[in-house]
Amino acid sequence: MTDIDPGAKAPASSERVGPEPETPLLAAIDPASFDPSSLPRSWTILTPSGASRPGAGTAATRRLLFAWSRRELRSRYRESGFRGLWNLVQPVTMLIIYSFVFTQIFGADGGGLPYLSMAWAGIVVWQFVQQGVQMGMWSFLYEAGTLPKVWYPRIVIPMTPATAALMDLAVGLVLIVAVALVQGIRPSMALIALPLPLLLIVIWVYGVSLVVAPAAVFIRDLTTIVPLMMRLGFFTSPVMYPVSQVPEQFRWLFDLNPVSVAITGVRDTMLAGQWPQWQLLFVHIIGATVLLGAGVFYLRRVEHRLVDAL
Amino acid sequence: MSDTIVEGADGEHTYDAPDLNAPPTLVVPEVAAINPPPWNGPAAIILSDACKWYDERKRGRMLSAIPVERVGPPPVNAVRALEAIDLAIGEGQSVGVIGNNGAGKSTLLRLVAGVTSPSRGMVAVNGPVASMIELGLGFHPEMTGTENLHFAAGLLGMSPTDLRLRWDDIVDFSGIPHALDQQVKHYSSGMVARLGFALASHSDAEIILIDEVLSVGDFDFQRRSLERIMNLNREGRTTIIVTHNLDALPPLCHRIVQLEKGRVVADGTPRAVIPEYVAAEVKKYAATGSDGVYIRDVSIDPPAVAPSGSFTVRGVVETTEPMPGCNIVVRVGFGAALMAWAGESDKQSLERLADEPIDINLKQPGVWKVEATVRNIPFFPGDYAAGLAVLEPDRSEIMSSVVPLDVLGPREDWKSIRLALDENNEKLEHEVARGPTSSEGRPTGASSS
Repeated sequence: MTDIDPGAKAPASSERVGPEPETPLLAAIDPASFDPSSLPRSWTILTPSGASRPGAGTAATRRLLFAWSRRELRSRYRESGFRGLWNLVQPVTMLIIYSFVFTQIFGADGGGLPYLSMAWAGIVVWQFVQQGVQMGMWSFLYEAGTLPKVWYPRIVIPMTPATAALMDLAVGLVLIVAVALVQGIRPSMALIALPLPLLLIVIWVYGVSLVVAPAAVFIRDLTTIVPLMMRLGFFTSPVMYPVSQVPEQFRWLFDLNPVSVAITGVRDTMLAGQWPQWQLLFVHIIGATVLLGAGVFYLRRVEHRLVDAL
Repeated sequence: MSDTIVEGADGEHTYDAPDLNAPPTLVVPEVAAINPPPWNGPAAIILSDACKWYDERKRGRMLSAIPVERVGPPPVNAVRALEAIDLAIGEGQSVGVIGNNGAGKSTLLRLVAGVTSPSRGMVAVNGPVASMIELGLGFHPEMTGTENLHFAAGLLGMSPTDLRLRWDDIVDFSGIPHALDQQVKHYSSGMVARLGFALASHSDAEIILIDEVLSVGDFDFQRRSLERIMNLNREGRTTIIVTHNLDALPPLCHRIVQLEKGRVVADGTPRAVIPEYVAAEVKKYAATGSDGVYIRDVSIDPPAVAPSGSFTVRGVVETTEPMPGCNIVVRVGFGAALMAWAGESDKQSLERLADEPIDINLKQPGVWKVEATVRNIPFFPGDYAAGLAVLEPDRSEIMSSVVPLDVLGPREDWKSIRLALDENNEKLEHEVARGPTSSEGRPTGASSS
């Protein structure tokens, strides 16, 4: 990625068109009345409305995201004795306690599925949402050390927690199969539709992180509001109970909730051996993609103001 | 011990032991940087009418969450960090930025680094920027040196290939190849700085920003980093250096830009700008005033004394308001000579050693000519400062003015010197804690050969 030719460096910024101008000589510049539109595209130009930069290149951004995520994973478990095993201790504890509460006190059942398999599938998806959104929200605030000192593609910061959480999601999915096998469920053809609910939840979590992370820098109240919403979301999403147990008149609320649709999709394809609700799933994937696009756009519009608010 | 004689196999050798008493100085190779020719090359950095203000109100921060451009004049209470900066820097120029704390130096670096945008005007920068604003930036304490190098390289825009090509150079320069497999949390701060500097100085950024990083590490490392910065500049990189170490600037810089209250007040060769700046700062120290208190014409006589010698402080204190309970004190402090030279306006960094009250009633405004003799000073040789100060009844400072005081004699590397004033006995007591010298840093004696 060592670009020597400045012309080959970047996708040109959209505002400047026409032949490539020359870099002006220092002696010929009057800084007091300088017109930035006369500069070549290799220049970074900062104005109050934002920055026009020679694109960092998607490859470099991807590499940076990968490096951040790997560091996040490594640093998290380096000092603990069981390394990655701790990934499982928390969700398994959740499974045991909440299973007891929901089945014995609230009278939940698996809705045609073995309860533990059903609940585990819910927890695996929920943990991904929880980690991606909550850690995503803190991501810029935690990175207050590097942000004011060096510029790098800002988008990698809110995407890192969710990317690191993908690892846990993958391990969790394998364990769903294992738990299901123990409880006598054989994988079916419907498993090939599993990527759809996963796609939905991944896009949605990235989208939410991209909006919440910069917003939390400007509006610190979000750091208390979001955890509260997450707690509410845990009980109002069918994590520990199946949607089939929800009274008919509230069902539409669950159809609006992308987390609910994704969890139900995972259960349908992995455990129930039936095709997911295609229409609902597709509508939500489109919605999540719009949210992701809005997140990317939002971050781009406010990223030059982040440092001032940290 | 100045000369030490060592018995060797082939007779006697005399060699110069490191002079422990000499004040630390940096030996910087001379570079012809005086009167640079007019710069004919292309521009690398252009600031045009660049302003930066910070809206410190909570409402202002919340408003910036709305993704629309905010134009217009600054909010009423905004902190104005930079005001209408017009500046063009040529490719390959090396520019030192000086000014007191709060003059806008760091904000200027942030704008050039591209991490924030101006509130008005425009900043244009050609080419990737490497920040040496904080060494070891992006290092994670739990990760090893190697892992951190890989990670931080990405942050600086270096690709894995770049890093692989320069790996040996970086490790060589850092001088800590043995520690690369250790976690960074076990590093000393000097080691982190070495590794961070080695990495940052090997990026292929065309513009290099250096903020007060010349003062880390031991002297050998400082010398090598200065050389490295000079070499980068000779290769044609544009460098901007912010430092309070004015001695380091003339050999490093073609050009000095002086900021004051967010504006460029001087721009020229080091020889043209630095002496005037220093002279102005020293003058400012001799006459400071606000809040109805002015202290002028502070001098000490003689300016250099031997331990347990005497000196006389003279000065004029003027008050324009009644200040019941307030006191004029003769102040002796530590570290002010350095401050005056560095233009440090932050008085907190002056360690007060003694404030001796003078019995003057400040109930009525007036002008007092103060002359006080301090006898039998119990100080160890070193750089001190002495002068006058006006204190609140609770002994917090309203105003002070000090000038350098040199206590002569062989200097020791004291870990800390603490002195307390015993007001009852009107006697100065001192307490000295002599700690080990830092493991790296000054040479610790004639242990060589």
